[in-house]
Amino acid sequence: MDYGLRAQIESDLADCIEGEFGVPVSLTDPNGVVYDTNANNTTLPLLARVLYDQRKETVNKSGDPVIVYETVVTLRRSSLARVPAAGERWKVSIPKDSTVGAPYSTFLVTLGRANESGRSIGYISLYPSDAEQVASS
Amino acid sequence: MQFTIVKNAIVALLRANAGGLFQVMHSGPQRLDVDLIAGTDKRLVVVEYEHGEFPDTVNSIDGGHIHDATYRIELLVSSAAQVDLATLDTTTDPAARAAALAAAIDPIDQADADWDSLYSLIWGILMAPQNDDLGLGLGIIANRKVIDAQKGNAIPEGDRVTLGGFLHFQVRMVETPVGETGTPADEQGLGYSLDTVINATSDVTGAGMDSAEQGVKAGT
Repeated sequence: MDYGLRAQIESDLADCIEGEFGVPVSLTDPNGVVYDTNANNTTLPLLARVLYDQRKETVNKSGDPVIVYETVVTLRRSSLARVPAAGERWKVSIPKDSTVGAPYSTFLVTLGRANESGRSIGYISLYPSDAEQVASS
Repeated sequence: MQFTIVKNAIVALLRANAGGLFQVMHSGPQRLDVDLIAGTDKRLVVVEYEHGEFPDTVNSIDGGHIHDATYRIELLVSSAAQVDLATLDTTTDPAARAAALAAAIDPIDQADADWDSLYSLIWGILMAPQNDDLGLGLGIIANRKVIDAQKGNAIPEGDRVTLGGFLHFQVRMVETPVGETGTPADEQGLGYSLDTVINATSDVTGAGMDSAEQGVKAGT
C-alpha cells in the first residue's frame, strides 16, 4: 500500500471533488459506452465537481467585452473506468446550471478544447461545449 | 450631415433583409452577454461610422463637399457543437451513440461556418444591384463598395465558441453646410463670421484694467 504524500492527496480527492460538492454526472466515450458509476466502487454514482464560471473576452475590433460562460467538470481519475484522452470526443451529461434540481443537459468534450489533467495528483478537468441539435440535411 | 442618414439607411436595409438569419444594431453593446448572440438566428451585425475622407480635388469652396464615409460593420457569432441529440440522448444502442458522436461538428468549425455565411449574406445585401442607392432613392449617394474585410480569431473559451470580424463599407455622398443650431450665420457673405464677445476685466497681473486706455471694449 502506498503511504506517500501523493497517495494521500489522491485519496483526499474523494472529499474535495466527490464530497459535498460532488454532482452525479454521466460520461459517454467515443465507442458509445456510458459511465455513470464510480470505478472505485460501482455501487456509487460517478461524481464530479462542476463549476459554472464566467469570463470576459474581447471579440470585436471596438474592444467591447463579451461575457461568456464556461463550465468546468473536474473528476478523480481513479474513479473513471476510462479517462478521456486528447483528441477524443465525449458526451458529458451534467446539470444545466447550479440550481438545485436543475435538469440535465448534454455537453460535448470536443477536439478543439483540450482537457487539463493534473496527473501528478490524479484529477482531470474537462471543458465541455454546449450541444445543439444538428440541422437535418 | 448625410452620413447619419446613410448609416440609418444601411441599418434599415440590413434589417429588412435579415430574414431571421441575423440581428442588426446601430452600435455595439458595451458588455455583451454571449447568450444574446447564441445561434444562427441571433448572429449580430453592428453598424458604426468609423472615419471619413473629404478629397481636396473634388470639393468646392462654397458648395457641396464630397464625403467618403467608411462604416465599420461588425459581425459576431457564437456557436455550439452540433450533434444529433435526438439519437445521442435517447438510443440504447452504443453503436448509434458512437456514430452520433463521430458525426458531431465541433463548435469552432460551426463558428467558422456561421461567420462565413453571415459575411456572405451581408456582402450580398450591400452590393446587390437593386440596393445601389441603399434604399434612399436617387441623388443621395454616388457610390458604395466594400473596401476590405477581416475575420478575427475564434475565442474558444466558454461553452460556446465566439468569433468576430468586420468589413469596411465606404459610401460616397455630398455634405452641405446647412446652418444648424450653434452655427453663426454668414452675415457678411464671406463664408465665415466672428461673433464672440470678449469681456476682459483684469490683466495677467490681476490688476484692474483700464478698458478705454487699452482699447478693450467691455462686453455686454
